[in-house]
Amino acid sequence: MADKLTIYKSMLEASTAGEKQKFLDFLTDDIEYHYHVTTRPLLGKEWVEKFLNKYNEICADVDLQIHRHAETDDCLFVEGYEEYTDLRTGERVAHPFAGVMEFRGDKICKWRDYFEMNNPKQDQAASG
Amino acid sequence: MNDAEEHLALAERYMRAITDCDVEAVRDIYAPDARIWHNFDQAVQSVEDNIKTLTWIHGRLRDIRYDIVRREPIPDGFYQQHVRRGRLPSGAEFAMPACAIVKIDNGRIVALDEYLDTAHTQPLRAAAAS
Repeated sequence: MADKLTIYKSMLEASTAGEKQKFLDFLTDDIEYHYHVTTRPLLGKEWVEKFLNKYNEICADVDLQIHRHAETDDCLFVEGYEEYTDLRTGERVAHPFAGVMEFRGDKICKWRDYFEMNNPKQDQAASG
Repeated sequence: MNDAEEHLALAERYMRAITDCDVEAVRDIYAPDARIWHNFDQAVQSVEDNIKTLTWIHGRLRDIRYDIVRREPIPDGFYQQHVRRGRLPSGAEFAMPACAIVKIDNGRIVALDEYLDTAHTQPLRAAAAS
């Protein structure tokens, strides 16, 4: 079985390549995805697929970097940085994030991301 | 104790110290040049500035406690998902979920990265402003 970071990176590559089914295959059927902490979680692949469709409608030129990671028996932790262009506004959105993925076998069954929903880059521009 | 057990023991001490606002204990747990970083401003805080923030929070929030969602040792420290809870001056409950990644060296915290959404701190900031 591949290490958890390799699985995670493969999943992200599938996402940026627009390979939706491949992305979903990395998740368990009962996936619980908190794409933003305290926002209502997405439960099940069907819901995640709807989210992914929306994400792909809105986000372009995604640049997702992993700066640090750690693994335990059933969990992957990552710190990273995400940038994308919001196609609704043309604005470049950027934020650091932390993600915690719980695995069952080689699939992700729980996933929670932490980040500032407001765009820090926008805030910097406003204050600069 | 092995490294993982030592890291988790330090995590317990740290959480007890910040829950009790035990400034001396917090100062003792941090290395003097520790860097505390938050995702929302991407700025590095010194230990003393972090202690000022801690005392500011304790001055405005009662019954502070932390619900630990998950804590795991990692080779150079630990990471933790938690919810900071407390009671606002109005009596309303406050809750702020966060994820912290803590780096430990020689038995002290040398770096702490905390990720949260400041939208969850708004009730506290509003209470402080009123």
